[in-house]
Amino acid sequence: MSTADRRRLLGPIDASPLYSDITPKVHSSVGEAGKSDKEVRKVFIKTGLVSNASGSSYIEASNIIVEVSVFGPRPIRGSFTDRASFSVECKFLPYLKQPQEDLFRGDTHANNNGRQGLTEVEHKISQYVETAFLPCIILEKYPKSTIDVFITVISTGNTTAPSSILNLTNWIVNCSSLALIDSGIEIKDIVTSGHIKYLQSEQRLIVDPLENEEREDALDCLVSFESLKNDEIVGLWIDGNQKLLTEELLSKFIKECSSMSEKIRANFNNYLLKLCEN
Amino acid sequence: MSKTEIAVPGQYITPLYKTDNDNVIHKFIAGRGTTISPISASDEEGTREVQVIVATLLGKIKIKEIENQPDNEQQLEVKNEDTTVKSYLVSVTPKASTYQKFHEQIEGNEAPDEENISINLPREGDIVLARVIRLNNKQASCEILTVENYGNVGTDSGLGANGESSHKSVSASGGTQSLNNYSTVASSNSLINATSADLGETFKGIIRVQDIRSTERDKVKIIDSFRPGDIVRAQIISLGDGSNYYLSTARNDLGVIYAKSEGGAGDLMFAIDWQTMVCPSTGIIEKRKCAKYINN
Repeated sequence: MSTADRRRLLGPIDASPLYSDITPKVHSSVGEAGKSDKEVRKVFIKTGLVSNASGSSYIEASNIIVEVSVFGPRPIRGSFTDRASFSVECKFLPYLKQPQEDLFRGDTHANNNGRQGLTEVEHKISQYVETAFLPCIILEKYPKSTIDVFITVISTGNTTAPSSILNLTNWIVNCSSLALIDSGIEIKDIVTSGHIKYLQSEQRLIVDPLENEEREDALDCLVSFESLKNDEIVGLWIDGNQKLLTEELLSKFIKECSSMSEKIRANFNNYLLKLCEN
Repeated sequence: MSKTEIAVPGQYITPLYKTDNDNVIHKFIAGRGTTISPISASDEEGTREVQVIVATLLGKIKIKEIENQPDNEQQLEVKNEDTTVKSYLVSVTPKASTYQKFHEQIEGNEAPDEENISINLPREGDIVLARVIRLNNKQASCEILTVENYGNVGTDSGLGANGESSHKSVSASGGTQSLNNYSTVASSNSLINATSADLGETFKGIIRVQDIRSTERDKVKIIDSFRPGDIVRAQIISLGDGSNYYLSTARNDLGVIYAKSEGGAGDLMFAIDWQTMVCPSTGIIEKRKCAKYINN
């Protein structure tokens, strides 16, 4: 079994990405300016762009651009299984600087093209998405098959601070939901999530923060829900200064994330209904 | 009782039972595109769990009354003699699939809704169309192309193996989307060691020699029944093992429906009886297990 990545066109092994210390001033695409703390940013969504996938979706949330394709159910090799196997793979495009990449990979100039497998960040996101979606997909309906989700991060936010992974993952989860619906794979509920940031010194609670600079007094919380299934929590990720975390704060976070997730859910429902009417 | 409303996945459609003032119990059965989900509901008496039928697909809700089977009625504990039970089948059908579009073109009317689902993995009892790819003296291997009345099996396998891009996109060594590289697969908590086939590979089926026809099974020869390239109408008799479904053609209406003479080099042949086909241009006669496929 070869270990090389055969799934995409790779550049030469010794190629190195262009790297510069100057952070380019990125122009915001959708709804960046003037978002209040309580608002969720405006997003652009589109489904069914990838024609040879079973389902796909594309999302633009200010500087975050994500594309998700769902393949399957596809036949397997090997022994009989009474349900589908579900796998998730998240990849950043090679030219992107990944959040915390210097921490995890030890070298910001690491060669993306030659690398095998996933980086730590990609692993973390993939695992979160898989855990969040496992309870909602009705795997028993698809015996002897695999359902594969491929996430491509086309653009990340402005920053590479740790907490920006949470915001990115938030939009990835939402985008994956749409891709799964587009594929027609049966799911028990739509999974949507919310992300909030808490700044202790200012006692400020920011829903869907656009700025994710690293701060000592910040706490980030990402929660994914199945809103119509008794608001079940299917994923929870807390990052930041965990000494600040209290039970009271946590329940506040979950409440805020739930309301953000419901807003996104409402928008998705609206989009899907329009899609069906046309 | 019928209504057409659009549902999104997770949307509640109806609880399993509803009662009317006029002593009628409405019983709902979860059909295609729906599932039963326990939802907690609160009222004055506290929080209870209610079994609710929810949609699992994006599509139209169809609620159809079905004839009551007496057995089912007995299962329900009808306390009052006057109470009657009405059963309904609840299903959610996605927006027109490819199959439905073809059906409209060919038959000129809409395909029945209950036959329209988005993903059509073969199930036991389904009639499928399969292409014979390999023979040996015990069995014929084939790839399953479509499930009759339900359309192609899987969109991507349809494009890869059956569509126009089949020869261009899939290299001899396998597809580019294959999952046989564990180091790049992030996580799979659900199942270990389930390796997916290459892109464009279809679900496979096997017709064993004893499943070809229902009489004189011991005299059947594979080579006198199928040839590679034939399109066979067969029934799924078992989900089989990991890689193959088990198919059967042991019925009059099952068997070869499309075959070319001389191993595919010749012309299309027609069945003249249940075990012979003839090529009209050369007059050559070949042996097949033919299907008597007449719609009425």
